[in-house]
Amino acid sequence: MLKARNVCLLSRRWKSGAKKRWNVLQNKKNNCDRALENFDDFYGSVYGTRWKNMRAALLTRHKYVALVNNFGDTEQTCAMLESDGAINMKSLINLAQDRVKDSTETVPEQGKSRHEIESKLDALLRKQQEREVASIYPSSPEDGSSAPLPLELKFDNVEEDQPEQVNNPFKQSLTKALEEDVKLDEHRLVDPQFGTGGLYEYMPAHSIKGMEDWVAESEHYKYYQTSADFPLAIEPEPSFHYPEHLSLYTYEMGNCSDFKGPKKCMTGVLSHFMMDGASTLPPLFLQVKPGERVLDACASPGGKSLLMLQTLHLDHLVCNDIQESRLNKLRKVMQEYLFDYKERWAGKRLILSQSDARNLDQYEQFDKILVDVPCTTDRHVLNEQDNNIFKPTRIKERLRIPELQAGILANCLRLLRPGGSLVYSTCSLSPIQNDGVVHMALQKVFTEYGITTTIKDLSRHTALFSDVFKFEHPKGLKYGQMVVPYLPANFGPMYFSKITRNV
Amino acid sequence: MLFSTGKSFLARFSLNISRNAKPIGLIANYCQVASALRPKKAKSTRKEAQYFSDAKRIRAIGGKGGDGCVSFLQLWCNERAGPDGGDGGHGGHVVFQASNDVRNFNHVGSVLKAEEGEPGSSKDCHGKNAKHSVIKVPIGTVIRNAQGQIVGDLGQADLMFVAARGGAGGKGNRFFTTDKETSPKVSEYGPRGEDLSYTLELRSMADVGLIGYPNAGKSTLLNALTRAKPKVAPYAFTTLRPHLGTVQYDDHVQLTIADLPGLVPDAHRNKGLGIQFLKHAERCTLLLFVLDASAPEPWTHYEQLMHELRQFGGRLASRPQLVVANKLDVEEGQNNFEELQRRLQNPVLGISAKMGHNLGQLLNSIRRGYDRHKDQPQESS
Repeated sequence: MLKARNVCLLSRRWKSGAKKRWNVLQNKKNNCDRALENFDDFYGSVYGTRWKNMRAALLTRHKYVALVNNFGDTEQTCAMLESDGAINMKSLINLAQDRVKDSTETVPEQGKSRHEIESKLDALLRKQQEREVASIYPSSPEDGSSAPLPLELKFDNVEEDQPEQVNNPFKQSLTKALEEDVKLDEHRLVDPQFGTGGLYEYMPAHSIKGMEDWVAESEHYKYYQTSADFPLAIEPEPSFHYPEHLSLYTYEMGNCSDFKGPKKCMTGVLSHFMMDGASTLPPLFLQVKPGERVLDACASPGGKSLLMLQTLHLDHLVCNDIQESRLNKLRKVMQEYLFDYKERWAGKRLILSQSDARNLDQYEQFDKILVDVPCTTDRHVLNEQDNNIFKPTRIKERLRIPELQAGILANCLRLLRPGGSLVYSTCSLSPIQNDGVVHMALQKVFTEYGITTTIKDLSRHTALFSDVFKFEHPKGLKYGQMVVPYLPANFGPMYFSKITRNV
Repeated sequence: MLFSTGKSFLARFSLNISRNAKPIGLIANYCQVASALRPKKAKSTRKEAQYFSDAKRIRAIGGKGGDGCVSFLQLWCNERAGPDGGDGGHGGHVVFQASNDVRNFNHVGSVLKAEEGEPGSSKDCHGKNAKHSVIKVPIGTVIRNAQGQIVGDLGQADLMFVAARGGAGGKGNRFFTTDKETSPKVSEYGPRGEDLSYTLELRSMADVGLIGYPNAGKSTLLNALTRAKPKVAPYAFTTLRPHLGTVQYDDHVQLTIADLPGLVPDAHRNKGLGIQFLKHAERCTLLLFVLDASAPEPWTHYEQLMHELRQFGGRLASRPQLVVANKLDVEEGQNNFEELQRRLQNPVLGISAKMGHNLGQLLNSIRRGYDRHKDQPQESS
């Protein structure tokens, strides 16, 4: 009788179509809304009042840079771009270099206010832990007794072995110890004359049963560590040379015009490549010289690899990616922009390899390595629903992305020849994925493989690009530099850090 | 006739003592000090030696709390009645309680583990709390942690020290019910109890401690004075653990005498278990130096022993002392006795523990020294 009634109720409820009710549709969140909510909470705590400007820039249309194809009609393409009002980045850099020679500026010291970032992340971690505890434990129970909630939750019943205490044999006599070493533990001494309250104190429970596959958000904020227990040296980069044959065209700050679409040249390739302006900085600061072996660890879609090829300095390039579809996209880009791709480049000077960047095993064979790791791609997740990492089914993947990034960077440091250079870059504003991952990787390669590295400070040379990009102040960064989104110059976000392996 | 078997000779000698000294003894007892009484019972026939444990290293493990239960109630008229998982019970503590019922740590095991709490079950049934594991220790026990610091001093009766706390019981899913989440499927695991190491030390062990070199005859002396049965053998370090005996006087006062292991030179640097043996000496009120008079130079033994006591602790050397020269039944002992009396400032009493010579005088000296120390104000501890 009751079950029949339930069946009727269910059928009636299905008939009404509950998923299409107006309040359900109104309160529905898509992936971009979840990403924006997370960024408002996270970056709002880290960047403070500047986050509003970054937020507006991230939600606005992207600004592009045109990379002229040196394998096509170079002069005609440059003339066309200049007639549209674009400026060659080389001339801007030459003007900036002339200006720097006249006045010698003092670069502000790095890491002065590094503790601000640490304290902000600590406060964010504690707030996130309190939020998680409050979401599970009921507040104000019925009996009114406010039991102290555990500060941190555990979701597995793995019992941590208590660290063994130091068994130092004490040789003092009892009378001497009674004079010097008395530290009575008042919490453990119970006098029955004054009550037996001490017998009712127990070890608190903090392990939750039933949520083993639940990933805590607070685990993500623990990846930012600042204890440097490995030798760390930060030196300024001695020199920076803009490639002679490279032509990058951009509009001036405040101009949001569009470039014309690429056209076919006489050689059958396209005339120019549209890419994010900040993406040009990691290959430029890698400073590739002729005769060097270069690895692009996460190469797709191939803009950075193409830029390195356009410098005409490259003799040997290995492009690696994890999926075949991404490699196919890269191959298509190379075919469109290199007219003799099949004759001269494929398999000989340009090698495509499909594998996980953490499993590459050509140790100490590369002079220069570019590591553009997978990240949260802050601009993409705020504007596109497809392939969004803030999908609810990808929460575990998102929270554990610093481990993936640190693993890739640590393995690429092993592939580096002693004396070689590496540039690590992400498209994220998160300090955890930027300085935190660099710290984790350097610590890992030192403790496991004994590799020591030197961080190259690029602050003096990023000042040359200040007419085009807006950079983060060096105080807020520890190991690298960052292009922040800015409405007049809406590039980025792009973090990059140059690491040199010591001999 | 005079040199027949030891037993008969000792019996005849004791009879002679009692017959000759009886009138004088009565007069002396009335106006001087109390006399030591002979034990009424014979010695125990038990084979094994009953040693005294005055320091113990233990490991205390608290009981694990019971797990919470995830359960949902199903009734006849209401098949989805909601969560009813009960909480787990608390694990037991390991508790030391000061008591007059025990005198040493012989009964304390090396690993003390408390009981675990029972897990919760359905229908809101909470698990049973485990009983605490209460171990009685003598009054005056001092508790040190693994780092050597004193964390507990049980100086009065019924004082308790929680050595290891048990884990609290985990909450069942009934506890996690809120207005938003009416059917929670989570509960808490009961945590494990504390796992700590301590060292228990007795502050006071005996009234008189026999201190001397190895093989000086301390165990023989305790054997002769009391009903205790320490092992007696003619090699060094026969005694490795202290033994206690009790002497009763005719004014109903009982004094305990401790037979301590022998001390060697550099004992304060832990040579030959020296630190451990010196700690035994620290727990005695009166120090009785037993010197082997048959050794080549017994007066250097006394100086060496005093040096060891000074190096170990500042106040140990200032304890009230008595000096006794043993083994006077041997010819070398008698020869060294005059030289020993001349060299030492303290009065030296000559005895033979094996033959029973002059033991009554020794017991009177012990009582006199104890009374003198008792009349003084309590300076140390």
